[in-house]
Amino acid sequence: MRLWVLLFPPSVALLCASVVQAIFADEAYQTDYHLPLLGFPQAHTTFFHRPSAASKASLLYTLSDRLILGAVNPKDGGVVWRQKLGNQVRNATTSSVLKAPEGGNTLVSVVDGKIQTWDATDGRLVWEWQNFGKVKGIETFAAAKEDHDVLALSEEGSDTVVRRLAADNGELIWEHRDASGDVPYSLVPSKDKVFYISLHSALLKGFRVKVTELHESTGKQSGQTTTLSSEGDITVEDRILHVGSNSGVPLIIWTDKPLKTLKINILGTKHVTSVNIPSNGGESAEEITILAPRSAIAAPHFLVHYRAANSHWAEVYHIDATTGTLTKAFGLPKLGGKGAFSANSQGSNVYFSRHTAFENTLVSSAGPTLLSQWNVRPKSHGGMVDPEDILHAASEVLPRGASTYAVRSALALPSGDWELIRNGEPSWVRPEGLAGVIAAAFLEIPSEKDLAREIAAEGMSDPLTAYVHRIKRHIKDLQYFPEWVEALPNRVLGSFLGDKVQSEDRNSRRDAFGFHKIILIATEHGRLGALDTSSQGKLMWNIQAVTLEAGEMWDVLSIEAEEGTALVRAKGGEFLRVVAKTGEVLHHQSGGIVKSLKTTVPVLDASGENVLIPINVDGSVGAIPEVDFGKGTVVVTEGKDGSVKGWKLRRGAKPDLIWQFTPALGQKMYSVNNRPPHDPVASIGKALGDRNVLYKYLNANLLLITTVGAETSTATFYVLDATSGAVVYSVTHPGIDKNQPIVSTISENWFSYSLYSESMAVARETTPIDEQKLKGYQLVVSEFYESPHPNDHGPLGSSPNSSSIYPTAVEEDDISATTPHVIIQTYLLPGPISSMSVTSTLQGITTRSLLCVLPELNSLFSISRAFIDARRPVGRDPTAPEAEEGLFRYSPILDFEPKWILSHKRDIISLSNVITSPSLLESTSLVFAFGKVDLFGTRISPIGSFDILGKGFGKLQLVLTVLVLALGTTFVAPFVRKKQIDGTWKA
Amino acid sequence: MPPFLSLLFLLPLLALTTFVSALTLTLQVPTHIPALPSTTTAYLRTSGLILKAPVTRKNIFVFRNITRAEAGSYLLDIVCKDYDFLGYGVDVVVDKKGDGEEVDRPVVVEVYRVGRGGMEMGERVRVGEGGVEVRVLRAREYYEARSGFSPLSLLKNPMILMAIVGLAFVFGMPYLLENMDPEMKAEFEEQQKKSILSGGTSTPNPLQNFDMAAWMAGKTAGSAEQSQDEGTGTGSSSGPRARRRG
Repeated sequence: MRLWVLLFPPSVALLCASVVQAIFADEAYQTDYHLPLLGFPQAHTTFFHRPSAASKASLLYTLSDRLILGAVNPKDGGVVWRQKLGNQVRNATTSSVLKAPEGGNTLVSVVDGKIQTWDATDGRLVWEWQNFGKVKGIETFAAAKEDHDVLALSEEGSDTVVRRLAADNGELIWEHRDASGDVPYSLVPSKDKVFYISLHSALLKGFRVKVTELHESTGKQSGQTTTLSSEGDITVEDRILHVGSNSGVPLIIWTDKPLKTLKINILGTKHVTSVNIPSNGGESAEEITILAPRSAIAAPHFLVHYRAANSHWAEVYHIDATTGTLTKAFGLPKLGGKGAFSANSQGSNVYFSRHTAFENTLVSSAGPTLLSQWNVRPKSHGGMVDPEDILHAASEVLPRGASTYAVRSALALPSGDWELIRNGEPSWVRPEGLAGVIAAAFLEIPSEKDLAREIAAEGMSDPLTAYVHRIKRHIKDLQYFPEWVEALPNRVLGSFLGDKVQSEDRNSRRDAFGFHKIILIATEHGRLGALDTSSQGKLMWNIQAVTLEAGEMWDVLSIEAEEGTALVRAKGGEFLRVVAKTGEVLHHQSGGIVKSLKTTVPVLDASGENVLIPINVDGSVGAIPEVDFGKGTVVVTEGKDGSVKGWKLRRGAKPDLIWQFTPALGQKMYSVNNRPPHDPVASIGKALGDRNVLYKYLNANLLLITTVGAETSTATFYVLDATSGAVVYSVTHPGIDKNQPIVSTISENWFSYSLYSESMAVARETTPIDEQKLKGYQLVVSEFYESPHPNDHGPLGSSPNSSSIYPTAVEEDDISATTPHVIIQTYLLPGPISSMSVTSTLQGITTRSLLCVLPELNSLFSISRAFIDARRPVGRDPTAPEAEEGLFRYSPILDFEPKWILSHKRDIISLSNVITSPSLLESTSLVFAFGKVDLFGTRISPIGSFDILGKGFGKLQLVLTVLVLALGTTFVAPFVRKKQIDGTWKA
Repeated sequence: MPPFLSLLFLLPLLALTTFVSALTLTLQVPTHIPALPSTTTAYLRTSGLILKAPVTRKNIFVFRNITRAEAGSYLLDIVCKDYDFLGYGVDVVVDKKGDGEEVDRPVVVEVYRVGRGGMEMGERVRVGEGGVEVRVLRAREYYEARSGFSPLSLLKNPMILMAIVGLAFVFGMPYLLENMDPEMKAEFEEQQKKSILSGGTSTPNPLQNFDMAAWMAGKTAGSAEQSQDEGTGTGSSSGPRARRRG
């Protein structure tokens, strides 16, 4: 169908493109929202710590399972600073360690063999040190008052190396190399000695614990190497439960396989004490954890935490610092459920706090009397958090007077929530379980009274019934009238003074502008959550939708909205229907029933009904139901072998493979993009400055396929017609870097991509500059037109229909295919783009913006299409008609202009996807970005909010102006009248 | 001189006292720049390899242990939330000077300004132990100031300006005329009479003075014109309209 109606593009706005898109200072942090997450805290890297000796308050530090190091303010749960230490993949096999020397102002972290020390107050790096090999353990050693040298134990090939690195710059002080071939395990500094523990393979099986003593200032071995006969117990490293030192008593504790005995050795001695683990009330321990305070000056007391299937208990042991004898001090009674203990110290006093689902108790290591006991409120934070089955806890104990204590504890819950309780009272909760979002979708708020439907019903019936219906409807509406009148003064006042208070029911209703939607998110560990876009992205609910095995990832393929519910489709045909507002799971069909099934996709049949089409893992289409598909529907699937296949669905037949796209020899499939589902085209042409029209090449079935060379450094972009499988356009880039992100997007009649390339400049006359390699990130924008000439439809001519499958049938003459006229422009970017998408508005009239995730700046960037119009004149200034169109001279340099950064000063870590949704206002598109860690949402008006009054509009000012004018008029009116009458008489 | 025009400023080069096969590249930030945000990172990139160095507590960037294995031509980018930095190129090369085996020769680092796309600009400088100072291009401003209401901006509006000029004429003209030289005044009045534009301004609204009785009495248009000469009023069958003074 050809439409002759052209909508004039809002080109006026383009002239001041830099002004139009910018974020105003008063809108920042108001319209946008951000959930800065850390990932789930790990037990051994989470603690309260004073950032410096001078500071009074401590911060809560953690190095999460996503390898994000962060400091959290224990008062409100806000992030003080964060640092990315790895690539944020969950369940990373890399071991990570975090140490904070008591009284120091730094933190030491190890990830992947890289040692980094950080300023504890502001999170700035102090120094970093890396060598090949794996760092197995680090400890800090007090060198000066606030400075703590770092001791590192690393495995380099078959060598065990112990190093001491200087506190201020990481320079090597000494190095001890041990070529015995034993496996290094850990190291313990104690007073003026440094012990390192390695595991020596025993003759038959298991490991012997080998302890070597080094002198702290020289690194020379002092004393004998002791080897403990532990080979019967330690067959895997996990049997070693604890290595540490308090009050100069360095310890190693391990256990045997059936968890029957604990073996304790004071390092440097040969004596091993065995303690039998008693079963408690018939239940035997399934898991044992040792807890000892972090402080070196604390008394050598430790707690053994036993976990059984459905209960837990603990025992406290003391070690005599002079004689080295071990005594059991007391036991803590068995309680049902899972609980967590944490150890703390104040000077040499050691405290243990216990956290269960219903209470929080505190004991001193000296005796079993409860120092404090608080009941814990279950279902805190609006019923969203339940402290059941606490996985681990970190606490801080502050004595208040002689016998009262203040305890605050950060509890890590299996739901992924991280809750802080202060003396048993819930204080804040961080939904760390929401890190790792893999799919998200905007859902409309279901409206209670469907006005549109009622009005439509009136239109359908005869005038009299329609009138009666309407009267009835109005009478029914009257019941809301008193409420409305009551709310009126508040509304009027609110609109003048700025709406501060949000009424309760606003949260559950739609708004007039369509800004209020629900964002459903699905995480890789099987959780579903919903955010409310109108109240700063508030978390509405958060549930564990599916239970996964350890290490398994949930593979969500799509989320569809359906009348107040959301349909989540996962791999293997699994699907889940949840109520958008409450998170109630209506239906759950687990996957994996049919092995070969990958997913099902809904396809519209001839009558407009959704039909589910099964797609197999190998990319073929399964058996289709007996329905009429009209002329036929083409389904495109991605095959396992990196091919893309087009299948035609017909009534009652097996689907036919009508085309298949296989990458050229030596190329690998990289990505496949299609046009967004909501991609309306307001105008089929582009109105030029001279009132001519350049027709866009529009095809709803365009696919953009990216392939990269397996051996060569090339990337090829193909634009396919999905109906026929014909390649409409292709382009190849040489000299690209495959390790850097290659991202692309396609919309309307254009596509764009970004990559890193190093290639020779192409020029007719070679100058020395041209001989250099052109290095850097590029953004390429290609636009498709039907013809290079205005008012010309190209080979299609004026024919009303066109066919993808028989492109030649249209034309009798020699023009054989309808390939578009392509205009390309390339821009040089200052940095990489890791994800690209396009804004969407209701009608598509508003010029689109390209939304790019900038991984290095931790930002979301938006650039108007008007700015990267491929028709910008090159090497000359625009002519008058071009200037009228909004085109300006091409410049290859494109900066990440700060005013175009949607996330402005926010620091958003690890975004990977951006989704958009139209609002009811044509000017505005809703944006939500998610990824491995953070969530971010905002609204964007690519060419300014032309259909809504902004915050800059002073309502009060307007009213005042009108009042002043009215006053002036009434004041002046008598004079004017007098003058007129006088004039009449005088004349 | 604007900072982006200034050429690379380098710290005095320090002689390499010890020849080591690995070296440390230190980048310094001008002293007037306050502490950079903790997320600020310097990147050295070449195809297939990226080296990273976060900003340190001393407000410097340290690339440690650059060895022969890292030889190549890099782009240096400093990514910061608060400032844009100039772009540099960094070449890690094996020193050609000196004698000895190729393997024993130390690696040296050369730094030069580059434009976007890696085009070399300015001279190459070999970096010693003191490091090299990197220049800031500009501070990053994220927010657009909202143009608030100000009476001055209202005055700049051309419509308002026209109105003000018009007002000045209306009120200033009679005053000017009064103070005019009598001869000139006479001349001016003569001209006014000839002018088409004159008239009507001081004529009272014809509608207000519509002589209903006269109209009812069937006065012709011609007589109405006569009466207009006398300045009493006007009216016609085709409706009220202002006429030129005869």
